[in-house]
Amino acid sequence: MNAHIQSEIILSRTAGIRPGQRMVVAVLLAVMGWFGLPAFTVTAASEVYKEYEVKAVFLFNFAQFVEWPQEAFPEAATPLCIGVLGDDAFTGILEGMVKGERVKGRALVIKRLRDMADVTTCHVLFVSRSEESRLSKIFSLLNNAGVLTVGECKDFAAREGVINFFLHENKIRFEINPEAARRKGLKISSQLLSLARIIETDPTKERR
Amino acid sequence: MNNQRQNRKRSLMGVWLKWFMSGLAGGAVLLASPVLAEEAGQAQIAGAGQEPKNLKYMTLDELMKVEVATCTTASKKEEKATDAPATVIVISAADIRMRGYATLKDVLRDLPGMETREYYFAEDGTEVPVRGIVGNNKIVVLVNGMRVNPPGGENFPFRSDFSVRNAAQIEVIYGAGSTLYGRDAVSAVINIITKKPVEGVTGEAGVAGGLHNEREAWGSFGGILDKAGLVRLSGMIQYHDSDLTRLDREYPGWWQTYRDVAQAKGAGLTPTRSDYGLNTFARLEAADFSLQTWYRDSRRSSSDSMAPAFGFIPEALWEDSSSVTEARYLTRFTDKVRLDSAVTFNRYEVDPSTRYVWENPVDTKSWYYNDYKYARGLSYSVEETLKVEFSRDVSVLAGVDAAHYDIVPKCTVPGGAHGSIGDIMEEGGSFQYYRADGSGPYGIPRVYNQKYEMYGAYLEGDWRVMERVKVLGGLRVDKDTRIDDPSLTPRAGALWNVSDELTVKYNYSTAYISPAAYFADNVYMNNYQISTANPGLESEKSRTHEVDFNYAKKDFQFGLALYHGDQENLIQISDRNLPLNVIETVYLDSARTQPINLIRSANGGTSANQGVDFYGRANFGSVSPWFSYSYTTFEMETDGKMTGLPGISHHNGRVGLTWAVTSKLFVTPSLVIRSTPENVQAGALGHELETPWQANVYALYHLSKSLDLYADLRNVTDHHYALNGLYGTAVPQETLSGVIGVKANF
Repeated sequence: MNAHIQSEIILSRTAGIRPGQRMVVAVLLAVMGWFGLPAFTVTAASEVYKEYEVKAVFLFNFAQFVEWPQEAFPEAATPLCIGVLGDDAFTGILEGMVKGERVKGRALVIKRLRDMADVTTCHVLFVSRSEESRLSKIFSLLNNAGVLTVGECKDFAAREGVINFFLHENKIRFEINPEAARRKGLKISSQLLSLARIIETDPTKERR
Repeated sequence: MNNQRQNRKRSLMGVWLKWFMSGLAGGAVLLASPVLAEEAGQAQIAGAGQEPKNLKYMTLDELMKVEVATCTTASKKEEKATDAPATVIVISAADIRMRGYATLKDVLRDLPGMETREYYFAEDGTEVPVRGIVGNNKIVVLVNGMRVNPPGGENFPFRSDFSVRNAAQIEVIYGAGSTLYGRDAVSAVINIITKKPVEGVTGEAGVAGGLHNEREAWGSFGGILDKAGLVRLSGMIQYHDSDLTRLDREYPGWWQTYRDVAQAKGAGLTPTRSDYGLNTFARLEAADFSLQTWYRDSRRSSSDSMAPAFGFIPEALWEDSSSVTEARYLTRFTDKVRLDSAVTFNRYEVDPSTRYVWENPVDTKSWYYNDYKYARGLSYSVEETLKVEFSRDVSVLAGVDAAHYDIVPKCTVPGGAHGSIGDIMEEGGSFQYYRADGSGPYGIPRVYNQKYEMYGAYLEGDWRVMERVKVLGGLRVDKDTRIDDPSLTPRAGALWNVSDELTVKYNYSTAYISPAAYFADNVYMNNYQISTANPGLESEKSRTHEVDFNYAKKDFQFGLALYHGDQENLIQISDRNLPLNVIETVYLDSARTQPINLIRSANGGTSANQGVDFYGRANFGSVSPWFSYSYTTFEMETDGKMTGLPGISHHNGRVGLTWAVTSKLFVTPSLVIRSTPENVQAGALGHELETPWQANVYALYHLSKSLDLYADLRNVTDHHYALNGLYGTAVPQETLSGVIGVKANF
C-alpha cells in the first residue's frame, strides 16, 4: 500500500469528526507545530534533578576547592576557563551556571574544545563520556599540565584523570586521584577530598 | 517585522505539518506521547519555578544528597534508562507537574503501547491493555519498590485514588518481568518513586473544582528531622470526587435502553454515578531503615459498563480499599555487597456495602438489591535481596521471598458481609443445584477462605563483556503450595552501545500468572449460570522477545521497540463461557425444570501479541514536544477457534508539547487517538466508536514564588466517543470535563 493511499484511509476515518471539533484539533496541532515562538526557557527545578545540571554545579564547586600553580594564570585578570571536550551534554547549563559568578576574584568562561590539541588551554577540563576511547591521547597531550581534569568514564581517575564522576544510589558521587593532582601541581582542599572516594594510582589500593 | 515573524511562523508551521503528514503517510496514525527517560543534558522545561533551593547555591554536602534521574526498576539497581534491559520509560516530577498528571491513570493515558479504557468495569476502574495484552492483573504496581497490587491477584483498580502528585519519578518497564518481580508481571511493571525531602520542612497543598461537580484537594509534606539529614519524614493525601458526565444527556441514544429498563421500576430514570477516591502515603527514613504505608479507597457506580439490566441508581456502588505497609532495611556489608531486607503487609477489602443492582428476575417491576459482594485479601511477605558488585563489569543480584496469603475471593453475601470471616461464610450459605441424573442437592459455598504460601528464589547477573557490550541472564523459581509444579521464569538480554547516542538491546523475558484465588474461586450465580471454584487451576505462562533501539542526542530522544510475545495455558475466567468453562448442565430444582450451566475458570488456549512502539521527545528551549505511535496485533486460539484483538485498537498514537509561553505561563496541549477498536459491539454507539480521540489542555500560571494557578481541561473539544467495555460492548466515555485550581508550596 503506498503512503498516499494509506493517508487517505486514515484521514477518512476522521470523517465523522464535527467541523467545529476539526477546527479545534487543527488549532491544537498548529500550536504543537509552532516551534518558532519567543523562547522563555525555564531551568529545571524539581526535587530530582537531571544528571548534567548537578554535574555542572559540581564543576563550578570544584573550581573553588582547588588551587592552581601560579603560572596557570599569567595575569591577575586571567579568567578561569572551564573546557568541555567531546559531546556537550550540558547544553547551555554551564553558561547559565557561571554567568556573573567569580571564583577567587576571577571571572569564569566556558570553552568548547573542538580540537583535542587545545586541552591545555583551560583550567578545568571536563572530558565527556564520548572521549573514552581517546583518553590515552588526551592524557598524553595534557602531559601533567596544570589542568584539573574531570571525567565520567570508567577508570578515568585510576588512569591519569584527577576527578571522576560516578552514580551511586541515584546520586552523583566523585572519586579523586590525589597523586594525579599532585603531578599537575594542583592542590585540592581537604574538604573536597573528604567527600570523595580516593583513588590510588595503584587501583588495588582503592580506599573509602 | 511583524510580517517577517508571521512568515516565519507560517513557514515553520508548514514544515511541521509536512512532517506531521509524512508521519501519517508512513503509517504513523496520528501520534503519541511517551515521556522518555530523561537522559543526561536535556535542558528541558521543568518544575514551573517551584525550586526548593537553587541548585547553584547548594553546598557540596547538599549536592551529595541530590538525586538524579535514573532507572532502578528494570534490574533492581540504579542505571541509565537506556542501559536498562527492557523498554523503559521514565516520567519525571517535572513532566508530572507540567502536564498536570493527578493520578496514575492520567500518566498511563500518555504512554506508548497502552490504552486506557475508562469505565471498562467497576471492579477494574480504568482498564489498561498493554501491547495487546488485556488484564489489569497482569500489571505489577510498586510504590518505592513496595508491591501494592491486591494480594488475591485481583485486577489492579486504576481509579482516581492513586495520586502521582508526590512522585519524584515513575518508571514503566514493558514486557514480561517475573524473573525479578514474581507472579503476574506479564505486561508491565510500574514503579512510583516518591519525593524525598531535600532540606528543612517543605510542603505543597492544592484545591480545585470544576465541571460535573468535580472537586479535589491534596497536600504533601517532607522534612529532614536531624542535622545529619539521615532521618526524613514525608507524606501525602489526595481526595477526589466527581459526579461524572451525565450519560443520559450526552449519549441519549445509548441511554434509551437503560431508561426503558428503568421505566417499569420507577427508579434509575436518570443515571447516578460518582468517582470518589482517597489516597494517603507516609514514609519515614532513618539512615538505612525505612517504613512506609500507602492507602487507597475508591467508590464508583457498579453499573458502569454493565448491561441495561443493571441500574444506575444510588444503591449500585462498588467500593474497595487497599492498605500496604512495608519496613525495609539495607545492610551494607561493604560498598559492593549489600543486603536489602523487606517485610510487607498488604490488605485489600471490598466494602460490605458493595453491590450490583439489576433487574429482579422474579418481578420485573422492581430492582434486585440483594447482590452484595465482598472480598478480602491479606498477605504477609518477607524478601531478601543481595546485591554484589564483583567489579565494575560484573554484578549479581540474588533474592529469596516468602509470602503467606489469606484470601476471601470476591463472593456473594446476601444481606451484606458482617462480622468475622467465619460469620461471613455462614451468612453466605450455599448455592444449591441438582444433577441431570436426579442426584442432589449439591451445595457450593458462596464464600471461600483460601490460605496458601508462595516461595520464590532468583539469581540474575550482568556482565559487560566488552567496552560497549553487556549481557544479562537470570532465573527465578517460584513454588505455590496450591500447585505441584514450580514456575520457572528465566530471562536473558544483550545490550550494545553502538555509539554514544545509539543503544540497541535484545531481551528475552518470561512471566507467569499465578491462578489467583480471585479467579480460581470465582463463585457466583446469575440467571444463566452457576460459577464454582476450580482448585486445579494452573499458572498461565508468558514469553516476550523484544528488540529496542534508543537514540539520544542532546535535544532529541527516540525509541523504537519491536516485540513478539506468546502466552500459553491461558486462565480463562468462568464468565467467558467458553466450552472449556462449562462443566455440565445442572438444575435448580429437583424436578429438573430449571436448567442452568455449571461453569468454572479453566486453563486452555494460547495467544500471541506482536507490534511496534515508536516514541520520542525533543527540546527546543521554550517548547518540549513529544509523540508516540504504537501498532499491535493479538490472536488467541481456544478450542480451535481464533479471536483477535479484544476490544483494542491496532493503532494508537499521542502527540503533545509543553510550551513556556512566558516565564510564568506554561501550557501543555496533548492529543490521544486510536484506530477503531476491534471486535466491539457498537450498539447505539457506532459513530462514537470510530477512531476515538481526545484532546486535553493543561495550563499552569506561576503567580508567585509560592502560588500557582492551574486549569486541567480534559476532552477539551467535547468529543463524544466510546471504547470497549467488559462484555465487548461499546461504553461511552467522559465528555468535556476539567477543573480550575490553586496550589501553594511552602
